[in-house]
Amino acid sequence: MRAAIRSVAGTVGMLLVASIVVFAMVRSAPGDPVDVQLGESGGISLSQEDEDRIRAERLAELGLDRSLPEQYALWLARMVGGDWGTSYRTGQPVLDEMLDRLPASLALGAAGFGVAVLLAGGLALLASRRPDGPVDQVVRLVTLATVAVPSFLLGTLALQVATGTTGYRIAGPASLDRIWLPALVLGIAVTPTMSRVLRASLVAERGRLYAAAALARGASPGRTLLRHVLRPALGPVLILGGLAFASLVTGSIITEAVFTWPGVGLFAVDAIAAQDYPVVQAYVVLATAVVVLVNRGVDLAGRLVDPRQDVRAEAVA
Amino acid sequence: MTVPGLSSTVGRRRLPVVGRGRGLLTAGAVLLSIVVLATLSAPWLAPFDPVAQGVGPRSAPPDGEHWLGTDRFGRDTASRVLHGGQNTLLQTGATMLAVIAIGAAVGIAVGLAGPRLDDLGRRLVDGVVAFPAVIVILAFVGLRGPSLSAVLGGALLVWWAPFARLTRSLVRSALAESSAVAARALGAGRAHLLRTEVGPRLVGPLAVLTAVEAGQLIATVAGLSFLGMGAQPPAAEWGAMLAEARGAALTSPHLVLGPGLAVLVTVFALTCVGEGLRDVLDRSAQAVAS
Amino acid sequence: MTPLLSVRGLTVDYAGRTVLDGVDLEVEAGEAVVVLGGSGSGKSTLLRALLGMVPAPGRVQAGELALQTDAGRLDLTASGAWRRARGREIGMVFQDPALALTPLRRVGSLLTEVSGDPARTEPLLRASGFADPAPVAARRAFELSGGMAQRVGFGLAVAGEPRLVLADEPTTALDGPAREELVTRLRERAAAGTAVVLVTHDVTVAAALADRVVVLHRGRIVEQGTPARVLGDPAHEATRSLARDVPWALPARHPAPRPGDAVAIRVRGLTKSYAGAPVLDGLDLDVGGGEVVGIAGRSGGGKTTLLRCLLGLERPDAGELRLAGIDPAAQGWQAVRRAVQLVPQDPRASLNPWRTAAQLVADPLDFHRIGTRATRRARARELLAAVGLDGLADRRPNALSTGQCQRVAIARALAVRPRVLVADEPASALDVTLQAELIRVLSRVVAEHGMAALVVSHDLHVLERLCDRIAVLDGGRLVEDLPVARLRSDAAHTRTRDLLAAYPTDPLTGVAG
Repeated sequence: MRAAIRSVAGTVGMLLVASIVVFAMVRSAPGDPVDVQLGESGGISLSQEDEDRIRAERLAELGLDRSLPEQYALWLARMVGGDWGTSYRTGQPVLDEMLDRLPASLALGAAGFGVAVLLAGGLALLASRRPDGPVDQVVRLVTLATVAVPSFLLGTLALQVATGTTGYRIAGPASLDRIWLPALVLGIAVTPTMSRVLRASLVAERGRLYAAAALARGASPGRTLLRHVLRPALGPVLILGGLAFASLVTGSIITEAVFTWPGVGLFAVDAIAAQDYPVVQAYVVLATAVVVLVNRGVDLAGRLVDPRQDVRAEAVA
Repeated sequence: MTVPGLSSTVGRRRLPVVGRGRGLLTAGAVLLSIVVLATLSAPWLAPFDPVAQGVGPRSAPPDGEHWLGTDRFGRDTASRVLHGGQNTLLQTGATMLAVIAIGAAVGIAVGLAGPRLDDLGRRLVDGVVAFPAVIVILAFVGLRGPSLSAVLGGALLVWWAPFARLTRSLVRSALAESSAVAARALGAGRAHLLRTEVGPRLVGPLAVLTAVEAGQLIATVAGLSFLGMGAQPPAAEWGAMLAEARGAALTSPHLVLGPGLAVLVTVFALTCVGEGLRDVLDRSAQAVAS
Repeated sequence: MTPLLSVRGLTVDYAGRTVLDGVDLEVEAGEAVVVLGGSGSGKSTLLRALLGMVPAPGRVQAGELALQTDAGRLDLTASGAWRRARGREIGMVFQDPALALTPLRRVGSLLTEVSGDPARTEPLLRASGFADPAPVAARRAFELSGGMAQRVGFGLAVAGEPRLVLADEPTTALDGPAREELVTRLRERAAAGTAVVLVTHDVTVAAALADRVVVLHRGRIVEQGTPARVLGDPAHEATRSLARDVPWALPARHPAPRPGDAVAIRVRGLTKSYAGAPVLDGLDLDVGGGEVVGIAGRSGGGKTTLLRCLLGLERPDAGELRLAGIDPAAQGWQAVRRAVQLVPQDPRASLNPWRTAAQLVADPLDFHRIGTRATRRARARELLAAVGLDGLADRRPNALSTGQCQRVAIARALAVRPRVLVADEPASALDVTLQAELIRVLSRVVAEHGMAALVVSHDLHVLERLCDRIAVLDGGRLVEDLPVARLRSDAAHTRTRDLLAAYPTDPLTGVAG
């Protein structure tokens, strides 16, 4: 019980630290946010007096006339309370815009992850049966080549091929019939790292004495793999799962852009190009929170699968 | 009669192999050299003037005269790729140097520190490593405006972490080796240990990581530039070309091909070098151990 | 009576290199056979072949390879035969017990997997030496201590009620008493009708366990017979070298300590705990000038911790130290290290692989700023010549044999002319011949230079040869401290008695003949 409380406290701690970092970045942005807002307000020319008055109002509103820690507290309170500001471009509350698009991103991420797990798992199992054998080498070259292909290139080419052959619709809502291609591209982008780590882990565990000992005690090769080798081999993989998630987030931004998939990533990219600060800020906060939570989750899962502290520490190195 | 020897999990075969070790390293190194040389000799190698418009039909797909096609101003893509490479490679190269310096410095400092500082340092570094670099870069770009230096600046904020982690880990494990412990017991000081025990053990893995991370950096910068976050057109630089290409991706997909292939080849070369080097090092480590 | 195991013409080769060459072996039920061999003899391959686990690209050929089971003769060369035999008819005890257990599995689950019957788990654990089996069965393998892992390993080997038990150098990682325990269990099994084939280079084990000793040399059986005959009167050169260099056959130490020299080591109240568990508990120790004192004790008993504290590699929780008259707390460890040097446990691992022998020997002179660069180099070469390594000064460790590495390590320790030598488990990482040489060299060096020395080891035979006095470490303190000459006669503490029993004066006498 105490361990659970400590874990939650740790997570909250990490989130707070991350929020401070984000806040620091936000506040260090060059240019006066008030100016930007004024500039965007439709180009209506204002008298100097009006401008000063509005400026003062806005400053107070944004809390920019207070001390830094106070600003942070205010900002944090707003964030937690759900007031993420209004998008300069769409004029809608940022929170709503994000929540609208979040399911699409999550669906894509999950689908991509599923593809990656299947591919990486299959490749790793194949490659690890005979280390340095012909299959292993082929798999290795394939993963090496795949790693080098930039996902935007892969995506663009895939899109071309798909529209040409299957009449894949280039743009449109996030629908089931459109998800398979970006999910495939995303999954392929993440597969090489995962498969390499899983293969290395499997090969390492299979070469250990206890695996041979299990065979010597009468276990069949299949049983040895499943009941003896697999679980210790998974430990490092789960840790890497956390890092794979990082790759997923990265990859999904680009994939969403290439396939015009209406997710959070695409929204953020467009926002950056248009200097829509509230959206950018919100995206960073959201993404950070998700990453921290997922990493903690992966850490927990890793601990459940393999309670050996030193092994897990080593795996990360 | 022959008893079928079970090809068991005990012991492994080492085939004389193509896809590993020396072969991979050489292939990667050769490829990389070609890329670097090609971009360096762009003024002589490129068939056309990279900024000259109208040397060919507009937005034409690759053909005999324009191997990578032309862009919407009628400029030859192949020439632009060659010239642009210089910029891209130099800037990423410089960033990598900075990243390695920072990372190694942090790593050594943490590695030599006492247990509490080490624990703190390790957590911090692990946290940065686990965090998706792209988000940080986007945040950075989002607040400073899109440009290549913004992307590289953002990258600088996070890319040092894997180097710090590796360096720290190697410093600690090197100092725990029997030879280091024996030297300490005989009276060796820190400087001597760093030089003789840590140094040789650091070089190889650091080189491997450099190659791999350099490839990752180029790929990431390219991807973000494609999204319009990096170098802005009309700069002669792969990222800027990609940004331009994205707009026209639907009508002229071949525009992505030029710089995209350049990125692919470079990253592939770097990854081969990294993996090949890793194999060669593993092999020699095993030889020493046995 | 048909033998339980019949092997005829067993030959194993790896890509042209023959590892086993026409081995014939017959083992009766209830017979304990010890296969004795040095490195390269092929003894491990023999066991793997008996389990059908010779790794690729090895090729195994045999005229006959058969086991008598309850269901009749089992021809092991037939396909599918191994699957039936492993675990059920043949069990195996591995060299490193902790590594041979699947780390995350529970002990009970592992045992059931082999025995097929969960109800047998507790009886099996009890028979393996656990007074309270229930908590052990619930533990995961990685949570077991070394001793517990050894017992569980034994339990797994016999869980299937096999008729033949194989053991692959099972005592190498064990100290005396643990070795005794394993040998006793195997004897009990043999007495109950199981055949035992144990492979080792350790003559003590052969003496203690075997009904028959088989000597393997370069893949061939060169002699066999009762242990008394083979070890007492060896016919083949290979057997002679295995039996000759045993520590108990070496001459004892002669010179007496020089009286009146300053106290070399003085320890008072040394205390150290790890994670709440006390390892050293108020330990006191005195070593006089010119005296050689041994610290004996079980593996994991704190000897290493004591050593590390004495060398400044570990900070104790409490206690006073005075080494060669220097107090490290006042004058710093560098001053201490000038006078106290280490002879490390594993010579090869202790040498930096990138430095040459000359550099390694000159290093301590550099560390303590003795002489000039030129004189240091000269002295290094001088030292190497003194240990018989001149001409090899510019070689790196990977171009030196283990014995040569050992001598470089000793030369290194002598470079600054220390007043005290500390030796960490000397020779535990070496085979018998190198061990004998190290004991000889150390004895000579210490006597010649009149140094004091502290030798830490779990092997009582080694200590008896090197030391004037032996102290026994148990429960974090020294519980017995006697001159060597009186150790065997006057020892009172139970721990000492256990050690003495595990290291008899002449293991070959009193052997079942």
